[in-house]
Amino acid sequence: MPTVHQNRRRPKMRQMLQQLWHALMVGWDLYLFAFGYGIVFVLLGIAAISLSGHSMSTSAMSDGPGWTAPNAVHWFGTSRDGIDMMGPVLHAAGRSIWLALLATVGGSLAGLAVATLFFFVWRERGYRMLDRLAGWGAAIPAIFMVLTLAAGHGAGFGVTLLILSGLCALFVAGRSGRWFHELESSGDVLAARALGYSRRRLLIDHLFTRLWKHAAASAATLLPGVLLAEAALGFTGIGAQVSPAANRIGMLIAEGNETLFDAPWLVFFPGLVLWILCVVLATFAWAVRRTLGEAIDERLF
Amino acid sequence: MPPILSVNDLTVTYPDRGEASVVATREVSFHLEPGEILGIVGGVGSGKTTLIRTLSGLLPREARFFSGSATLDPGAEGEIDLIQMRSRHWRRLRRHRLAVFFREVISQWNPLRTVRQHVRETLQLAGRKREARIEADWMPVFYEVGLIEPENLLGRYPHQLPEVVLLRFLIGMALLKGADLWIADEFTSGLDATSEDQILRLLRELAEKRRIAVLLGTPRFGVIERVADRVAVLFEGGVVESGAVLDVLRRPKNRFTRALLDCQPRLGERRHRLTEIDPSARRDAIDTTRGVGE
Repeated sequence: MPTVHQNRRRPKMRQMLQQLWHALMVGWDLYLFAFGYGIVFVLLGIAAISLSGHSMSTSAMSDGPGWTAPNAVHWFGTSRDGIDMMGPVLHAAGRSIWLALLATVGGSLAGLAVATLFFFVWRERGYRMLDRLAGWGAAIPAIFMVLTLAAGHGAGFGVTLLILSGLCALFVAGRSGRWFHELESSGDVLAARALGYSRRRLLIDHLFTRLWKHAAASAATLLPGVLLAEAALGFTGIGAQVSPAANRIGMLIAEGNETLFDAPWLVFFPGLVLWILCVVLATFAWAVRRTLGEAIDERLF
Repeated sequence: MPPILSVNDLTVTYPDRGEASVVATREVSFHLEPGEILGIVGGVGSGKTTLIRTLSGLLPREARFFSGSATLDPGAEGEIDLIQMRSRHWRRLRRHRLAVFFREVISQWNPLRTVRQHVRETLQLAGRKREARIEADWMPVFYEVGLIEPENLLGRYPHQLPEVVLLRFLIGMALLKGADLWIADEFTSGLDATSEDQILRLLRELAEKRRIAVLLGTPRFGVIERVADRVAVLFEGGVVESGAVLDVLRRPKNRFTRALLDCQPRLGERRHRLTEIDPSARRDAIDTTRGVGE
């Protein structure tokens, strides 16, 4: 009889394993959460080690002339000048987020405004033009960036904001053109035109009421990418400022890169914070898209 | 009786990105009198929708009028050239005199608005602000189009109502704004046979009673047979044959029309497969529409 018992249990076990495997393989969102929680556990581990009074491996992170490796007092270690790194890292992360948010929202609104202009003036031809522009037009901010670098000055916060907003605007304008085109050929918009709606009223009553969903979902999806792009620009020195208080996360990583082997925490912690922010923002974007009923592109998450 | 709409040799083309243009309608001519229903029959790609959209001013901007004319109230003092008309005049026309019905009735309603809001907007756009405020004035019309307790349906959203009810509301709205030219493109295609029959009968009654001219596009002769006075058969954008419905149905002159009639499924007939149109009949139709051998 034990064989019968075993035979009864085996399919259940197999089923459970299959379900688990299916959840792991198909439910990509589980990966995302597992990834996010993994980071939280790593952080908690670091905090626990720090609180227990043991400094992290001194062989790898040796104390230099002015700096201190992460310990119970300085969780993120200190810089060459002996400044605790937690404050600057969090401050820089805050600035980076605000910059990315500003660029995303501003760029998205600008893109939407351009598409709205095309809705009134050029319509179908304009939408096609926007779509093409969104493809090759991405080169414009890149050229602008190269020219700024070649000129040899960072020009501060504004340049970064301009480049990132430009990229967002191009992306959103191209997308908005497609949304306008789709919505314009939908039955109720055609029926509204047949009733004698003006373009302005069509836009306010029929298009904007449905367009905002696409725009919000698109902006949320762009945000983690823009944050990474902002960090990359900061790393290359675009938008560098004289005041250290105006540092951003990419700049901190670039600074820490110079002493990577002597003081790796100067790169590790800004990088870790950037990573966490990206994961959190990607999760947020995923939640926004799912709430608004927008299609989720698995390649993005 | 003077016609309300006159179309002469109308040709509309779509540019095909550097290649040869696509001719959507080819030298189409007909006229429509008040109280008359003209059926436009043709298969997919025959140019029905382009013709209907041309006459309701809803063509995409890239479409070009190659030649011909379309005139509203021809011969009257205030005759309107539909081809040369600017978009603001089109809006005025659609708000007051023109009612357009498309296929898939549910898609014509804004899902975020109630039926009441739709009716009110229609009347406001038609400049009937007093009627838009007083719902009691709408009720006789809604009863006339066969709605049962319409006052209880006005607060509903489109997805909460069946298609036939929505279609009756659309017809009621066209009556409320006083449209005298109705243009419909396969507007009963989503209905069951009984509902379709009721709607077609209603259309017939209203056209006769209120002297409404109706241009009705459909791929089915069955619809035309029940409701239309005259019919024009379209193929590849051109009119193959036109005339009184009974003449065309009983004594079709063109081989393509005969082939098209043979293709129509009939009740009580059990065919192994539907008849296909003979390629030579298609060639005949092309020759006819392009004037070959005339």
